Amino acid sequence: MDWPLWNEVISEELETLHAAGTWVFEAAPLNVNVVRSKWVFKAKEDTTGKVVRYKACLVTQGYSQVPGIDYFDMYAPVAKLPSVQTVLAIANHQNMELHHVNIKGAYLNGNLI
Amino acid sequence: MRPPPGYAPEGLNGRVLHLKHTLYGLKQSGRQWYQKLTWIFIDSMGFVRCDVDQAVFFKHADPDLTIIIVHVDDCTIAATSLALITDFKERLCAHVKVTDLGELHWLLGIEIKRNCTHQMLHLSQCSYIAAILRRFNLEDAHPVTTLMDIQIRYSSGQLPQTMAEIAEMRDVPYCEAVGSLMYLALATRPDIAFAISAVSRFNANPGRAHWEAVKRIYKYLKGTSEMWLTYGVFEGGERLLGYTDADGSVGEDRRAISGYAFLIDGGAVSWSSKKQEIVSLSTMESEYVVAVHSAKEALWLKSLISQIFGPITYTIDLLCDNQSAIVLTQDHQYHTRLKHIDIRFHFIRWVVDNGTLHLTYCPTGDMVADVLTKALPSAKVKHFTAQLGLRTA
Repeated sequence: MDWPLWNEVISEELETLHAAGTWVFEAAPLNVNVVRSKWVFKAKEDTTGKVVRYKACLVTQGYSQVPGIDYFDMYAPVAKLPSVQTVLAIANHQNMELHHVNIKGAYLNGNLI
Repeated sequence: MRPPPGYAPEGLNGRVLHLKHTLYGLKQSGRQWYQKLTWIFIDSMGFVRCDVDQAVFFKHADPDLTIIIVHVDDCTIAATSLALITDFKERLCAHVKVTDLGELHWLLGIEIKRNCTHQMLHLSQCSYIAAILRRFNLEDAHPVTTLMDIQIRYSSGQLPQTMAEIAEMRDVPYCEAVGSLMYLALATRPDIAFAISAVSRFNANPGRAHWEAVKRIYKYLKGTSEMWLTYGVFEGGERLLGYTDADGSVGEDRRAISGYAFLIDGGAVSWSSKKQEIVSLSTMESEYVVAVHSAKEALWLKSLISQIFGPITYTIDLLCDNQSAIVLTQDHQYHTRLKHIDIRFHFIRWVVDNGTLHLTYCPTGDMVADVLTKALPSAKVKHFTAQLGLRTA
């Protein structure tokens, strides 16, 4: 029904990824696991249930990746809650400014060798 | 990567896409992103990574200080001046696309309120509480003021026995309900930490009585959802202060419960309620064991604060309600009762000896960590909860 709208966001997303140099075309190498991909669609609704934004996200089906061949370490740290609270409490005591930023499409920035 | 369905640009014919950047869904994406972010902060922007929490970065340029706390794509910035924040945001924008969310008011589902005139900072998860109450259909439940019924001891004796009881418990979302409370106990509600560790012991095979206990926690939360974990100016409040306590080994397996809480500026920043690994023969021994457990956390907090905000020159006070355990951290008295204690627990003597930590006596009535080791009557729960920094904002 609203396919043209979805189509539009798909091409937009592809264009962004392409412009960022996310991939290059290559002949499939032999004996290599080629990971598949799919689209994930999300329609963002406002409080009345009206669709305000269509989102398309290209995702890889990472479950077919083989450890030790397609990927190695996976650990990535996040701040512990006691660190957050300690820093907030002391920062508040010292009258420091507290702000917040969010990075868009964070994962798309990672480099692969 | 195989091209997505419907994607056929010129030059593709039959080829695959060789990925140069990570995409969502790859196993290594999270790590690669963290490495990229580390590169941005350290190599490009001159930040230093904290040694004891690798997701915290900071930059000193006396008297300026900027601190960044990272949760994947969420960056919380604390800085001594607004100019530093503006500068940071501009420099970050050169590397990645950024949404500026302005002043900190929401982080990881925790609402943050700040009152700059009174130097108060409040944290709350009211909307998370409302959401889980809705999820388990307890929105209209009657609020209660005691967290756990002090008359009831929960044990494996209450596990479902008959077929009817097993059938009844099969459809109860016990693990889900306990799991949903876990985040609260970790983030802003030290008061429910003990209750949750008590009920989660029966996760594998809960009985009716255990489910009633879980529902009671929800009812308690309903009555106290307006409590905010508050940090505000207290005299000498910027000092780290610790409370440590153990219960009297009354559990059916005779293992004591350790509880500790560390406070800064009148609010808890780190707390724990945990069953001890060993069976102890006296309360002194259990208190000694929990003091060691707390000492480890104190050392970690000390390194964190020292590295980011400058060295801690004072001795950290650790309040304990057992005189014998305090004496034990200084001298080797009570030899006959201590023959069996493992050498590893004497680690605390070294920490006390080098002046990092000092154990101070505190009467049981003022022992805030009491609420982390046992079920208490309503008045005590209220008193200790307020002492931990949970107040109505």
